[in-house]
Amino acid sequence: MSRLLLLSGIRYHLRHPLQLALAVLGVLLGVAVVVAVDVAAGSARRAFLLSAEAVSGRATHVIRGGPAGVPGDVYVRLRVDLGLDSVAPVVDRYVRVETAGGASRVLRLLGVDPFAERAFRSYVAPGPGQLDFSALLARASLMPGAATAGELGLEPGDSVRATTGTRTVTALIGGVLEPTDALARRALADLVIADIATAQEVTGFRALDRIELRVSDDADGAAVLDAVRGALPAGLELLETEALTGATVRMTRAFETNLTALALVALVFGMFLIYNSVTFSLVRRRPLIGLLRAQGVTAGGVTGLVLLEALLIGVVATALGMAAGVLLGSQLVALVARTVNDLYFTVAVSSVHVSGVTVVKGAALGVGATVAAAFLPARAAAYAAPRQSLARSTLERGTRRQARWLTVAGAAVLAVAVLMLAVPSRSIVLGFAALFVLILAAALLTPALTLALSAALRPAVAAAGPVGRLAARSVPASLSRTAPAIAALSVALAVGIAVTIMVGSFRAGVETWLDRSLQADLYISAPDFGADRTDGVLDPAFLEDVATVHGVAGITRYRHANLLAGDDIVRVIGVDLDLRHYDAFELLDGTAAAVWRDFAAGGVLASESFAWRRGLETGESVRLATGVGPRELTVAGVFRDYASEQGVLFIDGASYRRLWPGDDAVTNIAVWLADGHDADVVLARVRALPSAGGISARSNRGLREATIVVFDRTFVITGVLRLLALIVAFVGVTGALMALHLERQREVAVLRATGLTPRQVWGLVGAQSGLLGFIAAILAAPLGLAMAWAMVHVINRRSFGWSFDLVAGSTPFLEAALVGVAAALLAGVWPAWRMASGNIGAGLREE
Amino acid sequence: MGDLRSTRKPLAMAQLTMALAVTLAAACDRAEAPAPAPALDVGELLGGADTLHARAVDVPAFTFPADHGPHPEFRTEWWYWTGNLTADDGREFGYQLTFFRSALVDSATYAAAVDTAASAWRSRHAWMAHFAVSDIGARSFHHAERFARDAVGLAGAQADPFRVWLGPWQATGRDTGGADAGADGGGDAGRFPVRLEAADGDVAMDLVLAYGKPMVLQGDRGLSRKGPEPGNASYYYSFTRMPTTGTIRIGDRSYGVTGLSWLDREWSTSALSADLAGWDWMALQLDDGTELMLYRLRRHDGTAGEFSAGSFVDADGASVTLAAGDFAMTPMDTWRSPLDGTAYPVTWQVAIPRLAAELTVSAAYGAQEMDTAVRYWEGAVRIIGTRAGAPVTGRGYLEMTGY
Repeated sequence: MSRLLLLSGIRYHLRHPLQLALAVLGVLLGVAVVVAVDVAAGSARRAFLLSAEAVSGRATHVIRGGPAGVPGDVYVRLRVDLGLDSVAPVVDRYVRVETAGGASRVLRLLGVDPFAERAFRSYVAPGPGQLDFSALLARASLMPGAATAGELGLEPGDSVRATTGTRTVTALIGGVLEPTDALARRALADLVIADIATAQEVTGFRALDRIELRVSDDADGAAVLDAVRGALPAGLELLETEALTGATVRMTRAFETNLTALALVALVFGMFLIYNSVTFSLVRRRPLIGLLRAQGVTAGGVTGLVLLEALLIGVVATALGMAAGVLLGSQLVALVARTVNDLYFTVAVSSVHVSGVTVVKGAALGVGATVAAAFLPARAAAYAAPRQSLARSTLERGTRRQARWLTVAGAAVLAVAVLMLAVPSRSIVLGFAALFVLILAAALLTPALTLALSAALRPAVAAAGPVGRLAARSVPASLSRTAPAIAALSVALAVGIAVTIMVGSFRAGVETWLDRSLQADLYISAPDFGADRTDGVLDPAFLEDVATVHGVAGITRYRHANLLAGDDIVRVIGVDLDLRHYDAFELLDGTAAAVWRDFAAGGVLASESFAWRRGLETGESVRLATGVGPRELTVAGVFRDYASEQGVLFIDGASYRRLWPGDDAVTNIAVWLADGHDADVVLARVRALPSAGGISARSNRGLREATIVVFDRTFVITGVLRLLALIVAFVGVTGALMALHLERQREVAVLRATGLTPRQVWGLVGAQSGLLGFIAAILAAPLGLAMAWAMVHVINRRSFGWSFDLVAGSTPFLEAALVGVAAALLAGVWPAWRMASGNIGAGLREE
Repeated sequence: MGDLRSTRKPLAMAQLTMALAVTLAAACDRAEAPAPAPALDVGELLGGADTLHARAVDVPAFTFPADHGPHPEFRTEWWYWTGNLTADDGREFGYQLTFFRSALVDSATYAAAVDTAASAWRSRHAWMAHFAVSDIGARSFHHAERFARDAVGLAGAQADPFRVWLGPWQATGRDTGGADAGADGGGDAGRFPVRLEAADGDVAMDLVLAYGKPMVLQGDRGLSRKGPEPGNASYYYSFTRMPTTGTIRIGDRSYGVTGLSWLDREWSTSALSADLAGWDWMALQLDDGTELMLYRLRRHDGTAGEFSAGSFVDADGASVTLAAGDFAMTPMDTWRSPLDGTAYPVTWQVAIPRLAAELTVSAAYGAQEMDTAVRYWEGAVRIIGTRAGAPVTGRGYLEMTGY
């Protein structure tokens, strides 16, 4: 008996392949987007971890210094005085390698001591196809991997120009490394190996970036670490390797969470689609279910079978969705990687990685969402009184009755969403959960709002004649069909509205901030080849020369340095600020006079995100590892800043030099022009200085534009995901509308038999669709605004620690209305065509 | 690693240092996947005409203390200490502490290639050191190797005050403040004692070596020929009997030890002909106050090469050079390496008719194989036999390479 129902289900779906296809497509797309985001973010993260692992080799600990690095004699002390053997010095910088032929690439220059390498990096092993020690040690030679060498057309003996910061030197290709193992090959894709002496000569950096250690995880190891700690001068830190890579990887946490949330939106739309498809198929099989129930099949049996059916669809769709997700992910990975490179750290993603977790997650979400979405309609069908199941009108009466309860439930869920948003938490996940609850509330409220809106719109639509009246009545009349479609479409539109408003508001905030903080005329830095690097130091000769350039009135010198503070990497900027700079800081806390007084007295100015992350306020203190040991520094003030979500600390130049003695390097300068001088003209003069080397110099306007370009680039992936969500919603709406229209084939056939022309059929379907789209757009507006508010004040705040004002014009709403109506109309094309041109007799026999 | 072991060409002692850069190839972590074996041919390595480094051609005019220090114009050089020690409780130990210097390029090439603003880490010399303690009572063998560049204080050698070091391992002489301390042995007595310090893991050694006998110039007044071509030779001198005291620590136990040490000093640019597979070298300290040094340059067919040689030092410190025809070394028992199955002849029958000496030299125990980048056998030996009609015993060191 139950087999009969299952068979009928299969038969039904096979006879309505389009319905089936849409249901599958909904889940497929939802799963695909979730998997794609996971794959893209996971691949970027894995690429970073692999390269970190390949680069740090088997080091368990590292010794890091402040901005000036680790003095080489510390290493000698560890080896000679402490007698350690598993310890290796490393210079780790980025270098632009330019061939004689003009090809160029930025590579990570890893300066190592080959004699110390055997405990660390297998690929820095000498031998045929590996390192030639004489070539490596006894002259300035670089050793790229075979792949890089091939790409740049390099052969041993070639000479290349190597640029770091403003410094360019000539170096020899001493050999090409061809390691046999995959990990090393991957690492070498972005590396060029050199002896530590060469790395120092190429970069001009005469210290070490770190010392790596490998100690056993036991009492002996602990003793070694104690001895090492005892031997370290102030300002150097001994860290676990994982702590360092962890700190770097953690930088992208909020970014990844945001991507995942956007992907989940797509899956929610997929659920709408399943819900709709299952409901529709059950409606079509009402008579059979009624019969079966009358003959004694239990409600549980019916529910189980319907769920089994959904499960089958879910499994197939999920499998396809995962395949599609991997494909999509391999496209998204470039976008993700670019943003990671723009904002966080340097990573080159050379392969797409699908983790087991991704597969499990995708499968659970896909199948789970399908079954969950099918559960309600399955129960509804199973528990309907057998006789009632046979009548369509009963269903719609039930839906209307349910609408009341749904409204009550919706109001309650809305209250929950508001509460969740109001909770003073820092959890990003809670914020997104609130957002999803908000969406759920909107969906629950949709039937009641649809009834109300269609009643309100009825006179206007009815004015279009009998067809209009028919259309206006059809929307509330088949609420069980129209409400989910409207809900799906309105949520999709609302997400669009919200993202547009959020990005727009953010952009406006950034523009205001740039206007305020960029007050000098020219900004010059030594080029860094990575978002996380502050290696490039400006040549002192250049600094002297700039001051003499005609038109230059003054120079502000900055020392940017990345430091590990607790678990985070923060940027510390040492600078002598005077009155003319004060305006550039929008202080969020404290009075200006007190802030600048405390700053001059050795306090730090913390960016908003830094203060947010640590829950710091003006007057509290922050602990920093400085060149003279750990120090507690007072927070003089908190200022608005969108430059880094990790946080930035400004510190007075004199204090900086006191905390990091001997580090008088300058990484950036701001140049103030004398009145009447054109920025671009002076910029050209500065660039023409013989000491300028490869400086990166921009005018105020140029820097502003470049910043906005990076900003926009960051949101490209957001735009892509939003588009994907809209596509899923569109498919959902199409499916729902098609179900709606096809279900009414008989009705339309009757109308056609009584004289409705094909043209009028088109008009009827068009009016129904348009009305549906319009209602969805109206519902989307408040939901979109609410979501935008939550994204700006909850999600962004918690993710990145910065605040900005919500700026909402009418454009996103108008766009949403247009898209909504257009999508709905488009979805009606195929059903309209079918009904207008179909066989009336066949239509009459339907049901 | 099996792959590496089977294809690796064992190198003789001289080759060992010349091939430093190559030996490092095998130095990648043993626990790792097979590393590519160095595909260098021994013949190529040794036969390679090096016209850029200085060569040992003429009988040297050594000047001390300068010649105790490094000779950077020569490609390779070593300071080779071995010795036999006895603890207060009678427990016996052997030790080896060796420092090898190897020039990566000659000085002219280096000067042309390297910037004047070179990094302090820039260097043209690489160092390798081997440290071994044979715990004869326990039949256990501790050994280690280290590598470093000759820069920033990581490794190096200096004549006065004498010091040679690689990381924490070092040999230091007495600081004479530049004053030459007397005529004996070129003034060397005054530079003693020499202190040797080395440690690895659980094993540590701290020895003080006193002046026992004058320096012995090996070969022709210090020119030790290794092949027929001119320049295929080394400069070679030894201190054959240095009374030694100190401590050896193994695990938690420290042993106060006394005994005798031996130093071989040698530098060259090319030292072995291509038809040789390796060599067997022994430094024997006999209880009658005399010493014997013998090396047998071994051809691929196992026979002794014509440039095999040795020396005998009498109780008063007077020495005579032994030519290949003056002695016979006959391998007897072998010990098989558990690592790769190599059979090392750990017992030798030595006959020196000229000295009326018949000696049996046998390893204190077999398992004294140096499982270093280049594998060889080097360990303490015991001697029993007759010399000039009288029974004699002794202790010494045996090195066997190229098996």
